[in-house]
Amino acid sequence: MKKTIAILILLVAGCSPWRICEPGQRVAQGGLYTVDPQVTWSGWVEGKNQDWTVDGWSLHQLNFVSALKEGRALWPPLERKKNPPLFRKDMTPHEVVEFVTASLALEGARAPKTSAFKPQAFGSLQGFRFDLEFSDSHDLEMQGLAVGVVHEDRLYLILYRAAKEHYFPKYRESIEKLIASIEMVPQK
Amino acid sequence: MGRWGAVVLAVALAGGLGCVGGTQSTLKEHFKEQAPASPTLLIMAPDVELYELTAGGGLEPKADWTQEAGKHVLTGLVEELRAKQLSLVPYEPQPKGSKEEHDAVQLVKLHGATCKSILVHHYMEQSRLPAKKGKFDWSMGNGVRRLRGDKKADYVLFLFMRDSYSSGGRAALVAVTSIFSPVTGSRASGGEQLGFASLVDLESGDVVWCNLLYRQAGDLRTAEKARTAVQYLLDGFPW
Amino acid sequence: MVRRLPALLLVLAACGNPAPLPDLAPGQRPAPDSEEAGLWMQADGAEELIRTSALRIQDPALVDYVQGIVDRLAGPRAKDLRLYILRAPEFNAFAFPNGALVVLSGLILRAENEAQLAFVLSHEITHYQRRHSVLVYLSARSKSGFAAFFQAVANVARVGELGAVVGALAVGGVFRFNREQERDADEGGLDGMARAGYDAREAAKICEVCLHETEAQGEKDRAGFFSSHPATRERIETLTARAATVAAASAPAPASGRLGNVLLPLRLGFLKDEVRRQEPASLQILLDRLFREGVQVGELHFIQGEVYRVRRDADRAIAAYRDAVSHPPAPAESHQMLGILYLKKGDKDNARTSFTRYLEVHPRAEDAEMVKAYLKQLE
Repeated sequence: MKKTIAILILLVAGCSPWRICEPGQRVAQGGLYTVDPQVTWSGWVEGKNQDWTVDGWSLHQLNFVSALKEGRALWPPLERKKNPPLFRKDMTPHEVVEFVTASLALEGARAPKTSAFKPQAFGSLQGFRFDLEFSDSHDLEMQGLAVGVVHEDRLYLILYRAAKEHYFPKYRESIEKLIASIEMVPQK
Repeated sequence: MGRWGAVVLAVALAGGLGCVGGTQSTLKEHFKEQAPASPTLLIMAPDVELYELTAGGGLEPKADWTQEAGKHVLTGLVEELRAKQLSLVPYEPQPKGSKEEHDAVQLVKLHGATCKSILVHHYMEQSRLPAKKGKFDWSMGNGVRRLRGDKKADYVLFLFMRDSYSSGGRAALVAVTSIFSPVTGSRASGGEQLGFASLVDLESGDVVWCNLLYRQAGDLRTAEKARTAVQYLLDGFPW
Repeated sequence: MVRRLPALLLVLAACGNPAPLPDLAPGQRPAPDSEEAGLWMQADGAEELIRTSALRIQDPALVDYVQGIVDRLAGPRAKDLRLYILRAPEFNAFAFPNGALVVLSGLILRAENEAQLAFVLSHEITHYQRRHSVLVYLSARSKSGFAAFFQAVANVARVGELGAVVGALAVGGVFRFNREQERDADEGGLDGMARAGYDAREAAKICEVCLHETEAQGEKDRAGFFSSHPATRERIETLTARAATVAAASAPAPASGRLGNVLLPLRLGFLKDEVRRQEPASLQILLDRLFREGVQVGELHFIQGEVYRVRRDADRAIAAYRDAVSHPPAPAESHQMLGILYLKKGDKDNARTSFTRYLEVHPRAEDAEMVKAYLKQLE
């Protein structure tokens, strides 16, 4: 519902945070890299972050967190909560995973469990990945996978979360290909 | 009312049904051309709850009305569908605590999340997902076949209804404020009837038809009036 | 508007102070057209959510154990009660108007013995038996503030991770009993536990446990069991005095030590939940008590390490994890956390030793590949 209200405010203001992301048309994230969407998504842009979905946030979503600074919560809605987990630039990958799962738990994820935690190329950078399982606040079972990297003291994360039934298996391969498609943007 | 009911109501009001009341039916593209002539429908137990609207504006849940209404809605639904020459099969819940029950519960929750997405991202035009380009395209995937069990059925039908009625005190308040409404321009609402129906293909999991109902009239407490409400809810039904 | 209640009750309800209802008889259900039936219908909906919740604990030993206590306490009413144990780091249990009895893992973790657990259960069963929820519901109706009622209840039911389930619980209206009802439930709780053979003096002690934690955390308006009637000195004194005068046992005292046995395999998981809850002062009180009990201290040192680590006190955390590994059996993660903290400190030798040890004791860990990558970096 919050996104809906936000949409209405922006529409009134005369600008649209929506974009359509199509296969073959690379999308830039945070000025660091681009990805090939693989399938057609509706994308919502909020500052440096983007949230993509095909059928709606309650069913699945692909979140891009970019250039997250020391001392910030994972994304803006969490900043407004009491005592949200905060990113620290000296976090090891283990601590980043803890930061992400604690953030999701604060938003209502139940019994979060991570697995298959291993190093993973993030474009040309050395990052990490992990799988995720939890139930949402309606007890709908969810699955997820994420890749991330801390680069120049900032966190970059790609997180896909989806209903275990149908939505996770349907898009899993596309998400893997999307991650493999990461290309760094030449830095000045 | 529950969070799900609150979403349905918000969408019904935002979608402009609020002023006049009515139905808003949606059919998957090309479905009518491809639909079989006489399918078998798996009927889920309708999710019905009735409330009394008190003078203070609160909703008091009514167990006896709810129980009666549940029966009337199901009976009305069966009669309406039989009149359309459709074969019906009731959904049989799995044994409590079994893995099959757990799976069925997850499917029903997925259905709920799907309907919520349809309401927010299709019925509410201002929050449509641009990549869909107005197309009505949602599917639960073929896992939905598990609801069928060993029965033969082509589609599964879900019904959701919430209805509230003025208490004596409230009805008096409505009468009084409507007398003054040319002056004040407002009118306390009496009860409200809210419904959402969805039809899902049991092979593909595609949502092939759905309908949103909102009225400031209607009653589910008698068989006859419940049947009328069901007729409204089946407005635009493919058969 | 208000059906099936005597006129006197109507008058009292209008004054906001409903007179007691007769106790629910075993097997009794409310008349279908009553307000109580409406309340049960809401409770039935909430119960359905709880029954299928991902937070539900179904460990057979634990469920059988707590069910056994409920059976001892409730006697002929036991078949009207349905027990659900949920994973939540909160000191709480509640009985819905319809007989659903919910116990949270935070309560099981904090009870020092079975009698204390029995008191809390007996207290909640008394609320259910005396239909206090119905009276709260009617009282709120008479003040025509439904929305306010549910909101107030929701505020009290601040149980963090439970989210929507607690929202559903709030609808059942089981919180916010008045002082009279809480005193009533304390008395009924004491009588019930004593009749079942438990030492009634333990009731005051569990309130002490909670008071101690609350004071440490500096929270005045605690949610849960002690929400509408906090664990005050006054209450503890009342319970202590009353314990001396309760009915004699009509059953032999249950065997001691069983609580510890059923809890132990689950304790580490529950303690990890407590760490995530981020109330370190109150967790420290609990940890200190568990240390005094001295059972399987390796895992307690590990949790102590987690508390320090979350507080970013790396040196104390390292010391605690080292204590953990020197008191086996300790969770394998103790080595993992040591490795990470040494890595961050730049102490490569110790980091290598700890990560290597971690992989030795837990070769199939979900993060084994990541740890191997750290080791490679350290070469």
